[in-house]
Amino acid sequence: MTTGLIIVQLMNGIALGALYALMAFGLSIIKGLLNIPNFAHGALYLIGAYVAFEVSSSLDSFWLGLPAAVLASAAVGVVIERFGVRRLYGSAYLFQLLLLFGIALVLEQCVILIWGTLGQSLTPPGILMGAVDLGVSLFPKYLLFTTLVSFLVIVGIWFVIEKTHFGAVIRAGLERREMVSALGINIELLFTLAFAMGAGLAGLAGALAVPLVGVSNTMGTDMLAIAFVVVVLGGLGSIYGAIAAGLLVGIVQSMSALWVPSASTVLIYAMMILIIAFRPQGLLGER
Amino acid sequence: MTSPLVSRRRVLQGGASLGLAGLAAPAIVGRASAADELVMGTITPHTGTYGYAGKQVIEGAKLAIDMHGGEILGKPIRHVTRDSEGKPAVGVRRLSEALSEGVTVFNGNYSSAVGLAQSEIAAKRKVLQYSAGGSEDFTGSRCSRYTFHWSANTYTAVKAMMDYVQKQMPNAKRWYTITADYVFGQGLLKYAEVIGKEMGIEFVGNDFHPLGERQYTQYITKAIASEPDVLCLLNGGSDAVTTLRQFHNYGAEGIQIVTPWGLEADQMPELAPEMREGIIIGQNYYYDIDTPANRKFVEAYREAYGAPPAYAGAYGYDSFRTVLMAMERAGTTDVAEAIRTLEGMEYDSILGPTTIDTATHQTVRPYFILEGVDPAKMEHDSDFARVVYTGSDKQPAELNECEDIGSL
Amino acid sequence: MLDNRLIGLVLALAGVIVAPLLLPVANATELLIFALVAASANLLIGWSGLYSFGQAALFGIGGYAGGYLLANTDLALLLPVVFGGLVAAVFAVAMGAMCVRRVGIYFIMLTFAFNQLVYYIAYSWRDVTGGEDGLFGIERPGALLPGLPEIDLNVPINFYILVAVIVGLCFLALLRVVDSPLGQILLAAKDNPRRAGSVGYDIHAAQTLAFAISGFFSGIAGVLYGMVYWIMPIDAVHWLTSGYIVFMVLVGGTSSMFGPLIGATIFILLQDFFSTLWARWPLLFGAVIIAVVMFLRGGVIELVSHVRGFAARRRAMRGEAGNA
Repeated sequence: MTTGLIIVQLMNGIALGALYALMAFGLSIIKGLLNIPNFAHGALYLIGAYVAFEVSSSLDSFWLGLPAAVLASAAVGVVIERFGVRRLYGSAYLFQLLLLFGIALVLEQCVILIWGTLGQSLTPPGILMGAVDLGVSLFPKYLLFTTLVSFLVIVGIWFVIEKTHFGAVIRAGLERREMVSALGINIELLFTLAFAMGAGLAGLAGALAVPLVGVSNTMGTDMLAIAFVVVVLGGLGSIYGAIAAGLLVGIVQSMSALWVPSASTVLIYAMMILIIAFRPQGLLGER
Repeated sequence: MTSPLVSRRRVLQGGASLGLAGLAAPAIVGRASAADELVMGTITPHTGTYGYAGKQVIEGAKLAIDMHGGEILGKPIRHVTRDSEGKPAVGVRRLSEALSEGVTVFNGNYSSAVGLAQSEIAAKRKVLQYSAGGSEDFTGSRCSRYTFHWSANTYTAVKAMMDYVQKQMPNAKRWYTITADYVFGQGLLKYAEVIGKEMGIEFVGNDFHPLGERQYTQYITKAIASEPDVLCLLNGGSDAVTTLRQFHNYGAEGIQIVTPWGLEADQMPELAPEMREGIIIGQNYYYDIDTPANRKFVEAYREAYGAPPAYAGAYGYDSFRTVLMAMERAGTTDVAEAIRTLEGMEYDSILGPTTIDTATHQTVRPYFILEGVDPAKMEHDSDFARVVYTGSDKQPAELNECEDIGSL
Repeated sequence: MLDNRLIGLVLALAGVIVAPLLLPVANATELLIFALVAASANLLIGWSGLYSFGQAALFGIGGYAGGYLLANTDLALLLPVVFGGLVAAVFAVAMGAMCVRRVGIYFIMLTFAFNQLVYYIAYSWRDVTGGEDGLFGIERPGALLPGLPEIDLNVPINFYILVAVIVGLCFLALLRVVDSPLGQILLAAKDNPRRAGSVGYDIHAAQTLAFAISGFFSGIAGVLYGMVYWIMPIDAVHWLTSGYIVFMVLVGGTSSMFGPLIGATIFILLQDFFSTLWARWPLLFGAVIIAVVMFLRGGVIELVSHVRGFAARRRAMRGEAGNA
């Protein structure tokens, strides 16, 4: 086991973790503001991936594919919130969850109807092809790019939430929903925006993943399970916990693949149960 | 004559709307006596990872029945189809539905896990299964008198691949392997090592990766660093496709990519054209195989469905064609007689000269090595790769784990 | 109430008799088994307010434990069945003890994580579970208990009758549980945890016990399931199966133990029906789920009581009109 390999694997873990963080961050914004577990998050990731693929390959520009994916997923998110979720605020979690589960099934099948059951590949744009020499080892440029984009987006959203007026409203909403409406703020609009933002993040994660893993109709379900783990690990009270937990899961997964490849998925769930047993509020959660 | 499928739907419809209150609904539908017709079943995935395969398996199977004239020995053939979703639990339920409609011969599993689950039922209910898939357990540790396996044995695949590479590149002695960490990958690696030893190949490194891995960067980095002549992918399906994609991102040159069982021709379009160029892949089937039976099949398939067949379609077609051929030879549609005739049968399949091994029920048939076509030289849309070599070495008996194939 | 239950039992019995005439016997057997799992899940969902997304883990652990004995030993049938139930119950206690302290989404996700953990362990532990290919070679021993005369259970209808008897007994036992003080405590804690706690009940202990009981019956169902197709497939422990079980319970209705029976029946028939219609049938299925959640939140049981209430009102009105 060389140091070079361990460093590569660490960076790999960070790159993978950054995608998880994008997914989970979106999930936890929706959870935090709307108080619903978004079971359709995987389907939004799926839609982002396919739209990015379609736009990139037909217009031959990945740089248009990325924003198109974000917009498409966000738009679907708005529809889900307006016509579905909104009618179930205040009812039991299980019903919200089932509704979103049903929506996810329908969306996934729609993707198959449009794009077929066969997966597809996309090469990264020319400038991101190839690998850079890190001294200890080679590392693909595209992975550096996804890591960078994920972190820029996360920092951008952090800035919006912590430093702007709109962010103040969101923070108020996270802490006390009744108060926001008492302040005369249009809470329905706020919810729609929050759902759109979370959905857009899922779309971005899907788009970024395309040159790495291609598109396939099962990619959403696979990602959803991990995103849930990440959110729980991060702590449900804190939206930023999801980011730390995303990185942690990515790194643990990559590192364990070095030593015990067949157990790397078991480890994630075991880790989740251990953390919850000893730190029930999650990594950054407050109780 | 009402189609039993329709009446069965009606029953389900009634059941669905009335719960179980529909007391008076017609009971025991579709259990036609086996004497006056042959019912063949295709239970195949339409959703999930193998969702792309289902439609083609059915198309192929249907074509086999149609090209046989829709009847055998004076009895009409009825075709029953079901969606296994690629899940074992669903596959067994759909199979048991199909059996209650009188099915005595079935194919279509595509996924090994589904097929192995179904083989338990085939043995208990005494019906003939023609399976496909990468698992050598079908004709190895879980061999069964009622199950025949259409796909080549993985030994045949690895041997054909390595023979070709040695012939083409005699100096390519340094091999690096990336292996899926489960039975299928481990089996391929075992054979690669056995065969490589005889050829004097040096395995400079191997990495196991978990099934369904998303990141192959670490393995590819290690592989490139050890400067092999050949990078051999001993994984399958989406894992192989993802490895190829991510390897391509490195832009590494001078390393030959080979994969004995990595992706089926169906999956070739999943790779961008520049990723396919020059790779060497093993195939159970490719539409430009030059045999009389295959030319006839491809022509009929194109005419019926407007595209050339791939692995799934060929499996659906050739497995049923083989069974019907055996029944003709036996002079009866009786399952036990058909099985006895199939055992040791020598015939021309669409793949070429083929025999069925009596001891294991493995279909011993040619396996095809293809080379990816330069995108600029593609002659038509599905001209992804061309057959460059054919091998049909049978798995040596001492490597087979089938101890007792059982009785009828 | 009592007479409602009597009607329910009579209808259930009628269903059990009719099912193998309408469906392939193996599928009818599977239906009974899922009805039992759904009913035992309702002890958690309907009675305790614990929306468990881990029922498939309990079902699967029972199936693997009992199935392993059936595949590798010559024990009489009921021993592996009870063994599977007990192993699942033990795991349920561990899972329950950890989960019941959490509420809401946290609880759902935690049970979900347990389910995934069990799934991936089953996936990796090939020696015992058969991994991806499933645990195979499961037999249906002829003797129910050592020394009893043998029955040929490979005759589908014989096996169906046996499963019907076992499921029926388990279901009656579940009815006893919900009638018992435990059932009352669970209901009280669901409606108002604080008050129930202040009266002196140890709510978490009661809920953990509910987990154990639910696990026991789900585990028994798991062993029976392994015997239906002589195999325990890996996807039986997948979280999607948990999702489907929850859906069965909700479709049927959580307010009565009979609800999940109806729910399981509807769910399985609907799936069978849709899958013969169109290759993209999950789309139809998703649409039905959405429709149920939007318009039929109380489940079919509630629909029935609405209709009965409506009919009763009509009768009353007619009666008044007649008197006038």
